Formats: sequence, structure tokens, C-alpha cells
Amino acid sequence: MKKLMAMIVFLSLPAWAGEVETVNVKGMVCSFCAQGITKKFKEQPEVADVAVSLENKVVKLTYKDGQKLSHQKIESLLKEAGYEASFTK
Amino acid sequence: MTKIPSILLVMFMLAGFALQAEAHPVSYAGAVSLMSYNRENENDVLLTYSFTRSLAVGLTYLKVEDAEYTVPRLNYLVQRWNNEDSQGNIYFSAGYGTDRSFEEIKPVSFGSVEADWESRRYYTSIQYNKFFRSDSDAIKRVDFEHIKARAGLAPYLAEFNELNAWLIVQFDKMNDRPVETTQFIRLFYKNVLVELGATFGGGWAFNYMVHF
Repeated sequence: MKKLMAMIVFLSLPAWAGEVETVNVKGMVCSFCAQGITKKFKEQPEVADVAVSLENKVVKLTYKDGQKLSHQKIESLLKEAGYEASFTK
Repeated sequence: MTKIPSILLVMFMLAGFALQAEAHPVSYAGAVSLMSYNRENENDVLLTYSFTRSLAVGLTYLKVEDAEYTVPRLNYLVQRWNNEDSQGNIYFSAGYGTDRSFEEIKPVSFGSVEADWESRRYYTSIQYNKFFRSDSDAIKRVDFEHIKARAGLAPYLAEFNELNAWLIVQFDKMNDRPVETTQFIRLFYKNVLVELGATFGGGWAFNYMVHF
């Protein structure tokens, strides 16, 4: 029973995390590109986690509870990393 | 050594310019990169720090033939094309340092232009470097020129956090030496890249790159 409860709690963790935002990135074609982008976003205090998909050309940002980066800030961070953003509606 | 018909080489180089690379002399703002290219009679190390996405300061150390060049340099990203499925870049670099040769240390100027294009599947680049050397009273030093052209193919498409592999062919032309062709296998994982190569003449090559 304890194990079952622990598993339920574990599986529920992502739901407790903050909002998730998906950003389309132009020009992100290799792991080196993705590394720079990941590093830039992980430095932001609002961001809990960063996931990159080269196949889908997206960066998925998981925010800390109640926090979020503005689109302007995201664009600016991507620009510093050398890339361009577009946002999914 | 393998001789490539010069017309083919020129066509390849033009294709490289038309299109973008791997050893980017400028990276993301705040990045430190270490790159090294090694083969018989040649060791080349470049350390860079990128202030912005378009400007980096660097230090080149090149040992080739009987000369050792140590050159602080500035690297500038002139143009980047961020496309849906690819990226292209043009870089300029210039520097001024020392040329240690013939048991003397003389000043040397350095200039470089580089263009590259890559997608997740294909990659091509071309680079032209020139070291403008100084003569001594008794010694004439010939300027050192190096043209490097590369094309690569990824046999499979790897995701971020997966091991990436590339098959690469590289053509080198140094001063009046014949063109040398080298085949490489490139492996990279996260921030570390290594290339193991063999020339068609039986020589070896080993390159690596790390981004911090």
C-alpha cells in the first residue's frame, strides 16, 4: 500500500510543477546548439526544467509554480544563444 | 596524398560558401570553447570566449612545419541564417601575434574567413586562413595559407542527449602542397565532440572540441 501511495505521489509530481510552455526554435539543428539554449534557460530563476527536441525543433520550458518568462524575455534569451523563437498558440 | 581535380575543389568550395559548421569561432554569449585539430606535423588549438552571440575573443596556437604561431584574435559572426531545418553562418577573424621559426620570434598577422551550413542530416563548411609573416635580414618567410573544405553526412538522426555520429570528408590545401583528403568519423555527445580521421595517404588525424 505504501508503495502504491509513493508511486501515486511520484506520478503526480509533474502536475504540481508550474506551467509548461513550448517554444519553436529556428536554426536549432545540433546538440551544440541545444546545449547553449538549455544553459541560457536553466540560468533563469523562473525555469524549473528545460527539455529540447531537435526532431520537433522545440524547447519545452517547465516553470516553477506561479512563475513565467515573458515572450520578450524568451526571444531575448534565444537571440543571445544565436537563435530565433516562434510561439505555439 | 590524393590529388583532386582543381575544378572539383573549386566547385566544392563554392558550394560551401553558398551554404554554413562545426568549429564555430563564435558561440552563444558567455560560452568558452576549446577546439583542437591534430595530425602529422600539425597541431592547432583555438580557445575562445564569446562576449555576445556575434563577437568572441580567442587565442590560436598553431604548430605546422617548422613554425609555431601564437595569435590572440577577434572572431566575428558576420551573418547567420536560422532556417526551419538548417543554419548557415559566415565568420571573419583577425589577429596579431608571434611566429616562432628559424630560432627567432617575429610578428605575424592573421586573417580568416569561414562559411558553413548544416542541417541535422548534412553539413558543409569552408575556411580560408592566412598568416602574414615577417622576414628577417637573412631569412625569407613565406606566408602560410590554408584552405579547408568539409562535407558531412549523419547516418542517423540523433536527439539532444543522444550520441551523434557523422561521416565527414575534408580537403586541405596548404600553400603549394597538393590537396590532402581526410575521412573522419565524428562523434559528439552533449558538449564534447571528437573526430577520428585517416588521410588517403595513410596519415592520421584527431580533433576535439568542448563547449563550457
